[in-house]
Amino acid sequence: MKKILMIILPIFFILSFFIIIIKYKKGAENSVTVSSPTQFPSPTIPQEQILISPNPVLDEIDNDLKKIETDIKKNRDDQRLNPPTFLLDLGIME
Amino acid sequence: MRKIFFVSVFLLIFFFLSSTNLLFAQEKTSNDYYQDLLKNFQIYQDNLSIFNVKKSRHLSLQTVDTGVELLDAVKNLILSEIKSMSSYTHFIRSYLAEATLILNYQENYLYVKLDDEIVFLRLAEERAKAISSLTEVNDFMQELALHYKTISSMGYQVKAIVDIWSVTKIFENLKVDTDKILNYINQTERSDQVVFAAKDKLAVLDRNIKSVDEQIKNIEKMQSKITSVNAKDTSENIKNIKIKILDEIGKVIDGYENIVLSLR
Repeated sequence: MKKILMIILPIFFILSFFIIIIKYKKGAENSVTVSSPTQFPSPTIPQEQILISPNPVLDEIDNDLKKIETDIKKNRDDQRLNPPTFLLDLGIME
Repeated sequence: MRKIFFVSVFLLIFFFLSSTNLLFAQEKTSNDYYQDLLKNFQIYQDNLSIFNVKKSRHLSLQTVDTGVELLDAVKNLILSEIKSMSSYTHFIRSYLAEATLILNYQENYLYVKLDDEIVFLRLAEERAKAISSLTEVNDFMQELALHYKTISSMGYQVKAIVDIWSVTKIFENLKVDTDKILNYINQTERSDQVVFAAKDKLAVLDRNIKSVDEQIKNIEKMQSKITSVNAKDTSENIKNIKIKILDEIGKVIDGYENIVLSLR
């Protein structure tokens, strides 16, 4: 009986280890995602970018400007932040 | 062999405990809290309908039975109201936290105030459960109303803060490009009329930049003066100014794109 346990337990341990790793990876994927109607602007634009082009600096500026335009388009009013209305005067004075 | 056995048992217990933490202790996002709010608000609305029916019945019949039924409906209504308020408070708190991560908002007084309100609501839920007569309800509701006024004002403040910091971030990104264009013009070996025209255009757009800068400072001042009395109106004003600022930034971007095109 003890021998069987000694064989089964390590196998069970290895299996549970893999299951935990898989579940944790799935959980991590879900936890990182934060989506809301309001899209916050992208992090500060990198100062330098390596581009193969006749004029890399102008290309970089062009790309940055397009990113800012996208941020502006995404920026809209999030109505969810408006507080809901509740009935606070129940009118049941006795 | 025995060692392997004990090590296996130890590791098994350890991984079981750590896995439950990993799988079940993940913090809720603002979206999760918003879903809670929707669910609790639906329950609140259902309880409100029941309350209205019971209230009408009690007002017309005035019996002990209708009074008991009304008290029951009132308690259910208040409890669902508090749960919805709590979900809303958690929602705006987590929303601010998520925005803070991206927008570098540094203040923490709002978190402290929101935490206070969350504690109040948790205690209020217990108090609501203990209500035993209709006469107790009015005082309780007055206190709840006062706290909800504060929570609402903080909701509008969060909205204003996110508006201001989003615009500020966009503006910072724009200023990085202003410097890049300026550096390019100063360093370019070209000395034709296109470069001079670009410099002139940049000087004109600089006025727009200064105007945006002033308007951002203005809405920052407005946000710092938000009170529970003016919260809704101030938040609305900030939103309108934000739209104007974004419009102005859009014009600057058009100008920059024009400069970049002419410099090619």
